[in-house]
Amino acid sequence: MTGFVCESVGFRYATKDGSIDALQDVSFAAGGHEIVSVVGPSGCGKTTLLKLLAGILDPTAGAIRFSPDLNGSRPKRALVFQDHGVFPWLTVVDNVAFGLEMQGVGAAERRARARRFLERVGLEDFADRHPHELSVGMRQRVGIARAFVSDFPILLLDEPFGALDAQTRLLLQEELLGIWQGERKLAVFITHDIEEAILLGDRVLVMSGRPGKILEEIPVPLPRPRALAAPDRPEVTEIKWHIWHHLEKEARRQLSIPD
Amino acid sequence: MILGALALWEILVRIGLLSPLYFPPPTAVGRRLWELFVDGTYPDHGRVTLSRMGFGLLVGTSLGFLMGVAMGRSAPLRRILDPIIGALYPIPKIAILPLIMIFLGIGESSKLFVIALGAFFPMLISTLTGVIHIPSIYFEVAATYGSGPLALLRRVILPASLPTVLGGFRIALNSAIHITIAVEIVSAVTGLGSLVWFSWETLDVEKLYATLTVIAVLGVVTTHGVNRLSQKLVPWRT
Repeated sequence: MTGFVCESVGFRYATKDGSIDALQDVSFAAGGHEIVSVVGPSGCGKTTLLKLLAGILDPTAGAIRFSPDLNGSRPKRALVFQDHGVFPWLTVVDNVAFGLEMQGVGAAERRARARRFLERVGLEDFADRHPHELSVGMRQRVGIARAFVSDFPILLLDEPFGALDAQTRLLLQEELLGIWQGERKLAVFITHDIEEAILLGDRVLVMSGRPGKILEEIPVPLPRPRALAAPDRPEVTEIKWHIWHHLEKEARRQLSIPD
Repeated sequence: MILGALALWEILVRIGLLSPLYFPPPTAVGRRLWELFVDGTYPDHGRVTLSRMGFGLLVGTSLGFLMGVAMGRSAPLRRILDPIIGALYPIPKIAILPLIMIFLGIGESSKLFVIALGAFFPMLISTLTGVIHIPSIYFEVAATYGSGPLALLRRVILPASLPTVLGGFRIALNSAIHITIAVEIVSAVTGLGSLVWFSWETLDVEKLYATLTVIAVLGVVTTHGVNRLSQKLVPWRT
């Protein structure tokens, strides 16, 4: 089973005024075909956590163990960024095929696979356009398409809908649920949106402000496949307010709004 | 506008307000230009100038680009080389021609070296700037998808820095034209620069104007070509 375990992971970085702990003692495990949502106030180290999982950064304390880990060959992780993650100089189809290209898949085959996926999500008319001709929401769909087409077992999503308006966000959440339902992978979904975390995740990890720690792990009792209306149930509303009470303090502190 | 100015010039010379000794009438310059074109003078010397410039440009910008990428990606290399470049760049390249001639002799190679050097620095500095300013997210995307160094260069570094690199190429082109003409003026018997100098020595003012016109046209045409090429190579916006 594909998965990973974070064991007391910490990340500390140096600034000119000393060092800052971005993450402290983060421990959790994930595996199989689940979506783990991570929700927390801005600046809590969510993105740092994702970069550690992606291998862009290395933990300064603790360790992340992947399975299977055959002589250091770990399951590949595709990272979807909040914004600007697609290359402006590549056409949409070449952006989507980028992961395959880096894996050494030939031009004809990788383009065919990218086109098939674009057709599936209804983006085929934009295959030969450049990203600047697309809306922000469409660019995010291209980034997500690239991650799925690359067919890596682990998907890391860093607030992929954070920069979108509410309506666009709903549609893309629905689309992501649909794609994931068809191609299940292990996914870690970072967000600051509590409802989004609940809608998408099988579990929600709630993080505190800096240094980022995991305050609580909350299972989401919603069956799959899920629809956008799924979180409207009373027991989910309860979870939502429960998470909010965790985050409220930090949010107030950041805005200097007294309790 | 230009035609109007030329017409005014022509009239001022004809009615005697401007001396043809300093300002030969445009018609006379034009006639002279045509004669020197038909008798092969400009095509022959132009070819010499263009091939010197082209060679220097090619070698200088290629090396400038490679070194710019290397410095852009390596902070230690930047720390070592930045002060050296800072010291060498402002020296007018024509001023080191005598020194280079001591090493390489008075033949073609010292000229080409100095021209290449003139193209090298603007290309190096533009490439360096372009590479340093590539948003780190592009490197992160490439890293998560497992890009090797060659794929990184070809698919990320080169295209991401291309707009700045092309800007540098344009400056390098102008720099190569300047230095080629200057080198030809001081040390060559062929090329458009040498014609400028001979025209002065023989006080052939019409030929002087005609040759400067040819050089100006050369600059306009090559710059236009580079601009067209830029638009073709960069069809995206960031």
